[in-house]
Amino acid sequence: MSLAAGAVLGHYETVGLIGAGGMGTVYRARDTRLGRIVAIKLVDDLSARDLARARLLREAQHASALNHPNICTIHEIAEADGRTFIVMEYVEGRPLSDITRGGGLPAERVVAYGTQIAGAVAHAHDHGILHRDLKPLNVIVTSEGRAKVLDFGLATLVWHEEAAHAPTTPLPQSGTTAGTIA
Amino acid sequence: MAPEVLQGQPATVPSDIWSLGTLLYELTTGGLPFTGRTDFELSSQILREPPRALPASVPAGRAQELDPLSPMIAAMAVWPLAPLDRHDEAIAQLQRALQVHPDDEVLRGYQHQLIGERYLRQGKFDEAVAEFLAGFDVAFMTGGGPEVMTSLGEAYSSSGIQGFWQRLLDVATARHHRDLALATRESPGHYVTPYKLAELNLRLGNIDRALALLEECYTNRDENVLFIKPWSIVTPRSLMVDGPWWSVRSDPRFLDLLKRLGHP
Repeated sequence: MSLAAGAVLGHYETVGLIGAGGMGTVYRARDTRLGRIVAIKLVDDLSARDLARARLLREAQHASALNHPNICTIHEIAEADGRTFIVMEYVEGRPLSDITRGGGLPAERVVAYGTQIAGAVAHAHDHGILHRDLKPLNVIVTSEGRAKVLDFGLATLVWHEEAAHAPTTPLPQSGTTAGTIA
Repeated sequence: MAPEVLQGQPATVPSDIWSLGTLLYELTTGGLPFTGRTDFELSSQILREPPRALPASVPAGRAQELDPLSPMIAAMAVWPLAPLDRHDEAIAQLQRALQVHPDDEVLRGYQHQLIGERYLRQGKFDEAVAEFLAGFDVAFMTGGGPEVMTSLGEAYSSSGIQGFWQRLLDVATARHHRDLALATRESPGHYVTPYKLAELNLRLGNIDRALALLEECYTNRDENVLFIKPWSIVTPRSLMVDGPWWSVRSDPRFLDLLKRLGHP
């Protein structure tokens, strides 16, 4: 299930696809009330299941309390047309996994990114929130070199859902696999 | 994903720290500290093998700092488990780190301490003393954080635990005097500082002696004094237990020391 550009979700209007993966599809969207660009994560597979939705709401609510320069802010959890979605800060940059693809980074940059990410994790832990799937793909680096950690507390949902269904259903090969191995 | 999570246990703070270590490894090398072409291979590596050492291209000093199973990171990762009474898990995790760093004194000392704490909770005081003393031989460990004391609850005031602390204090005091006499401090980890003695005395309710030792720390201004934060001795958490150190909180000498250290 995907949305075309210009699709309307509540007072948000999609302007492009950012990516699919993790635990759903992420769109770039315009908040028509505030006129700002945001990112919207639509968790297609889970929206239909009430239990999953309740968990999603709870986790996202907890994570939205986080306020840290190195954590991607969650603006709100909204519902429209029977779909639940997470509205968050739009961060322009490259995932850290892209940056490390060419090999290891110079020591100064490892320290620069490492301290920012560790600071974000420490802040979340102080507020009782785990990330559960910290990895380079979940960190965006902006053009100014700021690291932003995405998806605090959200990874657990799909992982638990999968675990609960594991005996009867094979794990999906793509799309909804949130808990990656490493 | 941390080994315990792969085994289906819920994620915890240590599992996030495990991932952070792995992420730092990836930033440093561009690859994972485990090999495996499939998810299955990868997870069995994580469960069964120690992580790969950093490649030779990474400078040695940095390699040690960023090793995901570096002694420091391994100790930090298990630290939150003990207060949750998850000693078995913490001990098993440290064991993995010890396989990679068998000579690391802090890890070995900490391992003895955790095993000792487990004995304490079972009321096996003689066994606990033996473990803590074995820990002393590799690295000085004060032993038994406030959380452990909390979980001991009523047992805290039993004669068994008082005897336990007294024996630790005796050995530590002897060590302290020996080190002073030798005027050599093998390593900061071994040296029984006045601060550590103060902490032990406090646990036994020897308030006068503890305060005198803290004054000594203050006067000497040795390296340890920089790290003195008196609330780390008398934290609100440790005060949840009605221990013999309770009265130090309102002792004017203690309050005066706090003021001089710049803590209003």
